[in-house]
Amino acid sequence: MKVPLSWLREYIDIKLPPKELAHRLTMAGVEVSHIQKSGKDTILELDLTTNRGDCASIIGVAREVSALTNKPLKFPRISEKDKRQKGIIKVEIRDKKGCPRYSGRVIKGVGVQPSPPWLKEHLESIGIKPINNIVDITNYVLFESGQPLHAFDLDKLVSPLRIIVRRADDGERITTLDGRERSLDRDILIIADGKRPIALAGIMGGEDTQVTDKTRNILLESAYFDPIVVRRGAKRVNLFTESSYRFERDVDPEGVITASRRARDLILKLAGGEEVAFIDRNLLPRKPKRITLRKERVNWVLGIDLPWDQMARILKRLGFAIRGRMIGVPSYRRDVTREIDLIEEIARIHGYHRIPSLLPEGRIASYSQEPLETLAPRIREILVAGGYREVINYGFISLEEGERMGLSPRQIIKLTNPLTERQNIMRPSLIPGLLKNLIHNLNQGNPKVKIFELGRVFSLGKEEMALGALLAGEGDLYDLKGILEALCEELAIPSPRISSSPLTFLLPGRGGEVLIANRKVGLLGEMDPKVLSYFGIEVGSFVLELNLEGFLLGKREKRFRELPRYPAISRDIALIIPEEITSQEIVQTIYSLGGRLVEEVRFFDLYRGAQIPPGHKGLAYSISYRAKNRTLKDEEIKKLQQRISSGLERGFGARIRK
Amino acid sequence: MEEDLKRIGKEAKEDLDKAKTLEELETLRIKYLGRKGSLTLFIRKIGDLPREKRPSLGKLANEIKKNLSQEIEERRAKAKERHLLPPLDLTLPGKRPSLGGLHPITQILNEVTGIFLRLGFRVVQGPEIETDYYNFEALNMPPGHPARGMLDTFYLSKNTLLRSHTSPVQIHVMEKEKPPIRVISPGKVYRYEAVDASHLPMFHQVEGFMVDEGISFSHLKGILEVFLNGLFGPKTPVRFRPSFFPYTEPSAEVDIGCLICKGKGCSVCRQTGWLEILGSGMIDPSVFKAVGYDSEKYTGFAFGMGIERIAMLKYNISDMRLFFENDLRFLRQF
Ligand SMILES: [Zn+2]
Repeated sequence: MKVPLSWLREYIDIKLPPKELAHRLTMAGVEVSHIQKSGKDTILELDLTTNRGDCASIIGVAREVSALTNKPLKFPRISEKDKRQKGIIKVEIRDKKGCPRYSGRVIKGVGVQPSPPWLKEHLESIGIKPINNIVDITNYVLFESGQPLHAFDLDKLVSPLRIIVRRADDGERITTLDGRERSLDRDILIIADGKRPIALAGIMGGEDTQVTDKTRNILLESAYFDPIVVRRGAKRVNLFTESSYRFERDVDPEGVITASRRARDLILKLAGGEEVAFIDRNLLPRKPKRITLRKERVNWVLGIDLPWDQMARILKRLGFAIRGRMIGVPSYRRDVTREIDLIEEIARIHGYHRIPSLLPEGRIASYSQEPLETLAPRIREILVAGGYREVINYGFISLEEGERMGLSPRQIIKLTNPLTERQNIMRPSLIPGLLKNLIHNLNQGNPKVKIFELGRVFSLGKEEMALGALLAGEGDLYDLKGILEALCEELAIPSPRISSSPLTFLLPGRGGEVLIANRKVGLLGEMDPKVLSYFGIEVGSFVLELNLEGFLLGKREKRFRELPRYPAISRDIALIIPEEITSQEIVQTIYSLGGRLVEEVRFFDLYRGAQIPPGHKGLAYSISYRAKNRTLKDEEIKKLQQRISSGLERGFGARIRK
Repeated sequence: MEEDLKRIGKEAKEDLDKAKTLEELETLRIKYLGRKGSLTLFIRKIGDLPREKRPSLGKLANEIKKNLSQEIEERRAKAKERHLLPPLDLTLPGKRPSLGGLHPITQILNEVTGIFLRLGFRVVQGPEIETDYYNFEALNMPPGHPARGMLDTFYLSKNTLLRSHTSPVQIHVMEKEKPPIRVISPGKVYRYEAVDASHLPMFHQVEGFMVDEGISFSHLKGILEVFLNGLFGPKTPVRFRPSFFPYTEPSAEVDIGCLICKGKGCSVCRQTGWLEILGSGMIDPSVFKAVGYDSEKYTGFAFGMGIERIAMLKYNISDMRLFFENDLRFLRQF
């Protein structure tokens, strides 16, 4: 909202330089976002919070300045006489919640013409185009007082004159002042005459009843419309005006008549004519709000020690009435309803900067942190140490991507109002995001991609933390499996096993479910090129995804094992076996043949080539032998190594390479 | 035999003159004095000789061995002392391990939560999918409340939505626990906002709150000043400005002195010299009512901040979209 200083000065003396004034307002919660020079004048641009509708006018801002600088306000002189004449205007309010107060005033014999220079200049200074004296006066009063007004051409309304405030019927139409025809419905509150809608209540008037050069007689409307109703209506027709802005922020119900009188005075002065009738239908309670204020409570909540006098002085300057501890709230302060609201008024005028900064002393809660909170940082550390870089992706993906991942529609959570079709479901997996990161990086000339993400994944009724990792352009599936094993070892989780069960988006035989102690906790494998090509990816990509809660279920406490006192002896064994035999089978056999002296069996080579017959593969292991209580002898090892070799030969048809 | 021994001794002497580096000296030591070194083998053979020949030959062999080890030791000491190794071109780049790294948002989140953990707060995370009740109603935003308009929301159904702020965590925690409470809650939030350089449909917030008997606005100031000085440096100016949030009263917007212009005024701070960094306030009694707390007995404060904004200010990033594009050339810079 624009506030020209020259206009503001009509209601209050201001000695402060503009910058200082702007600062004081900002620090009292009425934010001045810009100070702009305009000829001799200075314009303050205000950024009002939604609760301070009372500041959406020049007089409202003047009131704040008055409280901040302890200077009296100068109000315009307004005649309080109304021509209360029964029978000329009938007002029928059918939606009493939407419109609890409606006033109409008939002025006849006006001369519509351009406004005098002072009025034009006032409007132009805030960027409003002058139209004619009647319209300009309604605008002027709106900006001066914050109460929106509307003038109808009386002769365009059907007679006998009957104003009906009601919800629009579905499909009812009106052409608004901006020349647009609008189709209405039950959500929109309208003003109608006996036949048709003549205005969108609180938003904009109709075109065919507007005041023109030919207008002689007018009906001046001033009303209180419900904020929620106006907001909903404005949203429905997508029309936001100076009028709707103010009703949405709640106007002063007592200001309705004052503004109407102010406009009448100006019309009679500038356009002539005669007031013929006035009606005020008011269903709002007249009793002013009263709140009990406790001095101790103010000081308790704010952490200060302010005397009562000072509190009372602040409130009085803001227009509150003080009767002992009872505080009367002025009608324009619709936002103040409780003691805490008064405390805020005192705090902001006293100045937040005058409230001391203290560190609390007192009780500290005892608590245990969620396991995931303590472990997530460690998981990140391990991946980072493994050379993986963390990414963060949106929580939503596209339905098509979800389908490519083989999701059944039942599991999918759709957004009812997505921004784009590319982000219309909640991600059920981190993999689509990682694949999008991969293609982005490939396109940008980053061919080696090692990334991971820790984030929520969603399925019906569930929201879980997952870890996803992707490797492409370097390494292979065993590198990725290696990071999984490292995670298990570092976190004291049993070694993972990869099931051979096929998964829709992984290459058959090259991936499966990750099992920890026979519980499914995720998946690991090479992406199916068909799925990759949907993402535009042509390089082999390896993915890992873990459900963290399930994964961490296997976690055990770490226990120290005595360091061995006697040396280990290691011997290599290389063998050629048929392809279908797995490494796991070999390793288990070595352990069982070697007995308790076998400390560790470590795989170190897989080879195929000229020396290996077709349908076979070469594997090499290093076996480390150790006894707890003595140094092993060469002969013992030889014997064991022999037993293992012949066992493998017999059991798997292995050929031992010497 | 004796000649053999003398030959070994002579050879060793010659080799020794050529050996310059520590490695060369070590090779030489192994060649003569190692387990299978020629001198060692020779000395072993002396044992097989007739008894009368042993002493003289043994004495000579031990002398040669002693001289040789001594010589090697001396040269080794010299080699360490004088720089016998050829110099290296230290302008050549080092061989770097390929490190991974944390996303800049995670780094800032860690910094922020780290400061609060030291102040006795604990981390609690809330769900990203929320109900209307937790996201709005319990936070004093009944249907039709104007502040709902500022939090444009993604819906999953009439009643479920993607949380538009982290404040619902306040309700979850207070429903379950009694004061004293000190909680910090980082997480993703979602807003129905068209994408541009400073708006994204998803970003990160950190929510914090503290509730107990006797917590006042001055504690809110104290804690947040400690936090902001921890995050932006000990002399960062901090100011508290009245504002409005439906779930706090009184409410304060917290500004820090502009990091770019140091308060002189620039385009980043819109010439004000201040940057808005936090929203905060005393928890509104209506929020306490929603969780069944006695607001006469307990008071507390809450605050929330956008992490992308902080990261952008700290690292001088002008386009927010970079955070979720995850370009490795971007990520590697942090
Ligand atoms: Zn600046």
